Amino acid sequence: MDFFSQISPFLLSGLLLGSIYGLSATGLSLIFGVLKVANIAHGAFIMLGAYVAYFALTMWGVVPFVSAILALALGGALGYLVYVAVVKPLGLKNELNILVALFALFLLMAEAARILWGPDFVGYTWTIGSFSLGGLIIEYTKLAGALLALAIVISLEVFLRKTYAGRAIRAVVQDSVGAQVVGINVDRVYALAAAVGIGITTLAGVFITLFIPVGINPYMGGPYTLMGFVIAVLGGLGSIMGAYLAGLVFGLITSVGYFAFSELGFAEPSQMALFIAFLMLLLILLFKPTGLLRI
Amino acid sequence: MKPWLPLVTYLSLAAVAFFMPEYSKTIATIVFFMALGQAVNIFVGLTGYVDFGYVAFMAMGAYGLGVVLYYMPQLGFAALPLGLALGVLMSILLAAVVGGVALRLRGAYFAIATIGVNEGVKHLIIGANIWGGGAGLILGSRAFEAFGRDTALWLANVGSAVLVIATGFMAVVAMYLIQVSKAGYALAAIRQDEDAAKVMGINPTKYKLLAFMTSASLAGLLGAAYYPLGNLQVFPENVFFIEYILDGLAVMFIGGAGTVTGPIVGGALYIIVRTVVGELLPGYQVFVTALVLMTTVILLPRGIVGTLRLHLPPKLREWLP
Amino acid sequence: MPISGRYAAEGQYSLWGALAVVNWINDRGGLDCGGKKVRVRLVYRDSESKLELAQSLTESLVTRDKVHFLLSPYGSDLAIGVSPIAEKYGVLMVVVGAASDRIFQQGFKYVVGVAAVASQYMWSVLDMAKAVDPNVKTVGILYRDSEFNRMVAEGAKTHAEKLGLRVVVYEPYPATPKDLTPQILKVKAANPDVLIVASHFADGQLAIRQMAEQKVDAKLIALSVAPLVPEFYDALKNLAECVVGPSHWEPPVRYTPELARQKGVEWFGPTAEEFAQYFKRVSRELGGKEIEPGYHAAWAAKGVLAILYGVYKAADVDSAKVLSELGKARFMTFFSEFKLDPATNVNVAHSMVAIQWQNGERVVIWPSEVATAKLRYPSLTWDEKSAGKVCK
Repeated sequence: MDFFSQISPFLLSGLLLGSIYGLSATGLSLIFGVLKVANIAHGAFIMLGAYVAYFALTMWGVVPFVSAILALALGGALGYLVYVAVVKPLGLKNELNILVALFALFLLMAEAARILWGPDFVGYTWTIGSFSLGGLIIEYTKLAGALLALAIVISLEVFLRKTYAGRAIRAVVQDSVGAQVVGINVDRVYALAAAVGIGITTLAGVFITLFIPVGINPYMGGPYTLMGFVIAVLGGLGSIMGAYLAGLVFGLITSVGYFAFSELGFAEPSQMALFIAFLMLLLILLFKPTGLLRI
Repeated sequence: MKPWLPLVTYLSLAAVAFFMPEYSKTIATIVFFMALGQAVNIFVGLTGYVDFGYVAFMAMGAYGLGVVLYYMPQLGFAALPLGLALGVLMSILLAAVVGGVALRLRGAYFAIATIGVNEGVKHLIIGANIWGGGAGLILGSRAFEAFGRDTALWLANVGSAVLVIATGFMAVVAMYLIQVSKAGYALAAIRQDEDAAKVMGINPTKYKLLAFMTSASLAGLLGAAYYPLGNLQVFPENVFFIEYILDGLAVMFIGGAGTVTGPIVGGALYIIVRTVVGELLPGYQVFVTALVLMTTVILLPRGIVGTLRLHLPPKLREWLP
Repeated sequence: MPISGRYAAEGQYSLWGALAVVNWINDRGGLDCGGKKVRVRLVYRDSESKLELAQSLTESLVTRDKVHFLLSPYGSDLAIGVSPIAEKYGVLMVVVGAASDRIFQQGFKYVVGVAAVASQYMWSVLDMAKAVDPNVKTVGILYRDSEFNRMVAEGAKTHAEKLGLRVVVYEPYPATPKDLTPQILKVKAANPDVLIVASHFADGQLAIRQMAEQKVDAKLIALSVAPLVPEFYDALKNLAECVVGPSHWEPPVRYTPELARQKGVEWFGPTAEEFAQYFKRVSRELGGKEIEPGYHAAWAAKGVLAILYGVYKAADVDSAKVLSELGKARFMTFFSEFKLDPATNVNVAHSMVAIQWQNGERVVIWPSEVATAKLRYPSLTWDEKSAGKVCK
């Protein structure tokens, strides 16, 4: 087999999954950009989204593309609540306390999920067929999920650029004091950003189940928080399109990196690929904190 | 400030652990959280930076002792001081490297960079199959070989508790020494306004690095006392488990960030809440703890000791540092 | 026992299994100990799957609650962490829910294992494959990179080579994987006859799911741990069909008093039916719904039974005496026979059974004397399964 046909399935699967990874980090990036808060509870909302997808399909037969809307609404409402009940009372300057409060929220959500839904690893099966491309078999649902993710990110970007609310958000990202001076209600912008950010994150949780429809459990969130940070930083914290592109990069690193390290004979190729991802995170933070892909 | 109250607390806990060995693990658990909070406090409380990759220092300490015990049990008793020294050294080195480069970053960027360090080191150890890789080190038979059966069991039960308490004790001393020296004032100035401090001729990176390395060495000691000595194992999935820093932050916050007695109060409360809830409503401990933490952070942002200090006359405040 | 945190599910089932046996014996007036009936009390604490709590709670069980014997918490790390405590106080601890070989190689005298160790997990599956199809040549092994799963994979590899099979792919994956497509593509290129995945819960489900997507067909696909719970089938539906897994115990496995009589060994404890009945009651009381016992539950039950048997024989609750009785013991319970290896204190009379998912049911297919169905071989292909065919 020639080199290209060997590597092409890894490339393709990396890109597809990367699209979802990118979507999952945009919410985190948006919240950081606007509120300057690192959302430690990020993974808990991914978990919530995954359960929404699971229950919607198994109990009411609602397919993930529809339940994603439900997740967006639910996440949005929760995001607003988090801002009003946690972030606002503490004041944005109080970075340390907000971080710890969000950590408490993360634990609270995981434990609540276990108490309500049990500790088991659950999952669903929903397929509508697949096709073969470049040595990889791709499910239609995955392809649709990956493309929709791109569409959602683009529409979010359009919302930020074209609408009044979106422009207000961008103004606050650039200079919150200046935005206040020109008459923008900064408080409402913060609430909006929290709602949209967490809404998108919960929605991403639904989309993730299109790729990983199994192993849904209350404690699944942690790794997504970590991954979210890596991606958001790679893309430049606060940049939506950057986060999405960085997600693609991350997907490629884990997939193609595995292939490369495996060929090089490392004992644990996928862990080495992750090592490289975190190494990149550090280098970027040190030398180009605005992100690799700032646009 | 007068550091006697916290020091006496640790000494009496050590005495109980030593003379009533049937309580040593229980005390070790309580003090583990106190000492963790205390070590975290030296860096986070004094500088206002959050280090989410803090567990990496505990991991370095754990691997230091773990590696010496695992690969050189023939050293006999010398393996213990050597292993501890190696562990602390590795923590300090990691802190110097991370701090040297990353402390230039501010706030959340630093926090994220440290997560990167923690995860990166973990993936490297597992990925390149260093020191047992993903399967970790199990040290039962090695400890028996190095220390003899009875001594090894005493060390695992009582010795590790004493070492954990000693770490807490040293953390109080370190905190005291920093706060009464020039470094304490410099750090206070930096926390208030880093740019203004710079203008006044203070080198912020230098002092932040000092606090960072002190804090890291204590964390390393705690990791060594805890995993290889007390639990006879070093598993990468456990020693790099990121939630421990969050526990440390929680303890510090409930007690009061930047105070010396805070972590003691916070640590005790943290465990008491869990134990009581565990007896009454098994399975709800973490849920209730998280709820307590969230309410404290929102309603009592200075923590218990911090709030108490506000209302005490200055004379008494001295005694409750 | 961890009933919250990362081991919550397994810890909960283990606890219920232990409680079922304790209730059974108390409903019969208690345990016969030197001629008088003694009631048995199970004291348990939730370690939240955390090392430090497992340790301090174990110490407090020993020194304050004055328990006579210990059941280990679930998980190799927690079990090893509490071993020095059992050892220091000379309290017999039966390890349930932790199977790593290395626990028993540390030289702990009071730590006893009642079931097969990790490296033996896949032996029965490989023996079966070889017996059913002498033409099997190649084996592929994927494993989760953790202490326990690595032991399973290494054991499988050694055993496969002993049987004259060639291991064509041997790949690790991270402990909490999000995507196994890269590893699975590699397996696909190697195309083994038998595919073994040394998995845990979530990753096992993911492996099957993504193998199905990439249509990686093998004549026999076996996973550790994951296929043994009903959630596996709920999550994967038809894709779970034909999947094989090694289990310590399954409800249809019938070790009976009659079998014990035939073999001339003593019978001890409830029958499988009685155990199931008591387990269901416990699960209804504590979990709110009635469920069938699985192997975690049976394993913990066996742990309790081993202790009770030792006490019954020694007519004493002294750990050293009970331990020496267990060293000599040879008896049968609904779980399996029992005979300790003096070098490691592990029950060597217990061999794992193999199950297969057939038409939505977990059936026992190996060894033949306790099997309830025949192995479907070769396995259905993924295309056939997606088309709705089931293993029959």
